[in-house]
Amino acid sequence: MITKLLKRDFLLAIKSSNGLILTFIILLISMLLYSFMSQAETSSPAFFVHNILLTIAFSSLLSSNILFFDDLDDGSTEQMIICGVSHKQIILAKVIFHFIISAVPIIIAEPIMAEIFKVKIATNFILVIAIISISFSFSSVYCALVISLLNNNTLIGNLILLPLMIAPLIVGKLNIDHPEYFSLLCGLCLIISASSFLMSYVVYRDKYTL
Amino acid sequence: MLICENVTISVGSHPIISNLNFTLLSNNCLVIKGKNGSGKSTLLKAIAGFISLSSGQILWHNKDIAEDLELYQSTQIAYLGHNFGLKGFLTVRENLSFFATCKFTQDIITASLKQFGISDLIDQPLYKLSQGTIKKVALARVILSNSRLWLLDEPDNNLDDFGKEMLAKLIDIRTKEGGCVIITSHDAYIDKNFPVINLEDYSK
Repeated sequence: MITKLLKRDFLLAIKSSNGLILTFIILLISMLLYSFMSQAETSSPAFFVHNILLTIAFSSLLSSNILFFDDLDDGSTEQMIICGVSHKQIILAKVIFHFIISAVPIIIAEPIMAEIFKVKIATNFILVIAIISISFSFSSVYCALVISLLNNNTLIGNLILLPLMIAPLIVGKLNIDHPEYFSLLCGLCLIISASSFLMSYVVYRDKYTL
Repeated sequence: MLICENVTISVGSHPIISNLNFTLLSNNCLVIKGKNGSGKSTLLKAIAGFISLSSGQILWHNKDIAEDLELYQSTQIAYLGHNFGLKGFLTVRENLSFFATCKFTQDIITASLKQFGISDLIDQPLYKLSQGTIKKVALARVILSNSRLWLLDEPDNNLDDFGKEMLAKLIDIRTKEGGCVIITSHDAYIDKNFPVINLEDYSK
């Protein structure tokens, strides 16, 4: 069922093209801003990767409204529930969809950007995993944020969830120069993703359960 | 059999429906009427399990729907609200196919659309269709679901005469097959000898 939900969301994203275009616009703006910075700083791999992470963070936060609002607004959520799609499946599908649409294009573009800006960065397995972990935790946090806002829990959304995006950014930057922080980073991202998912599930279930 | 016992539904602290009681037997259709804001849609949502009750209970085959809500929602009901849950950018086929794995098979989609005379529009995106045609697509999904309890919120709105006639026919078939149908309406269906509940009698 998650595959079915993902397929539908991708089909919508491709046909309406708003989600994908937004990600590429953010990537373009990020590249332009990056190119205006001083040469000494931009050639630093840590600075470059941090810029990539910030781009993903912005892309995650400015993601299209396909995620939950549209489905809630047009009655799709109700129909999905009637069709036996569980709340967990809906949330997981949305997190994966959000991750793929907001982070994956930037992760793929990262080596190309490094080449363009002549940053000598070893795109190794650990770095890629680190970026993926951080991006996935961003997507989980964003989903929890959207769901909390849907339930008018603005305070929880802004005060608890948004700071959760800062911790992976800090540890992620540390991880570039000090690979020994990799386990800490992965653990942190796992905890943030799991807790965000749990929070999303509880709020979402309460909204649709008697 | 659906039983509503002393059902009170409030929005905030304001009760919309107070102490509503009714029993809907199998093979029957119930019409809920009332003016705008009298709580027709809210009641249907409550019966579908999307809104919690302030007091009272809703029983489906003598079991409180809240006891196993997921099972009740996924196997027993088909719900058509004011928002159809259909995506304008997707075609009729893509929209219905999404629900195909859950409650019905792909091959009967066309047959269902044929009943409403819109099978030739199967590959058209919904944004190109009229409101009445989109309603027919939403109704086709209800028919396809084969659920025991149909909850239809003003289903005849925007429908042409053929659509209305077909809808009445399908409701008739559904009830004869042992199903229950609840329709909200301003005035239609009232002359069809279906029992009617006027929600204005239950609003404070």
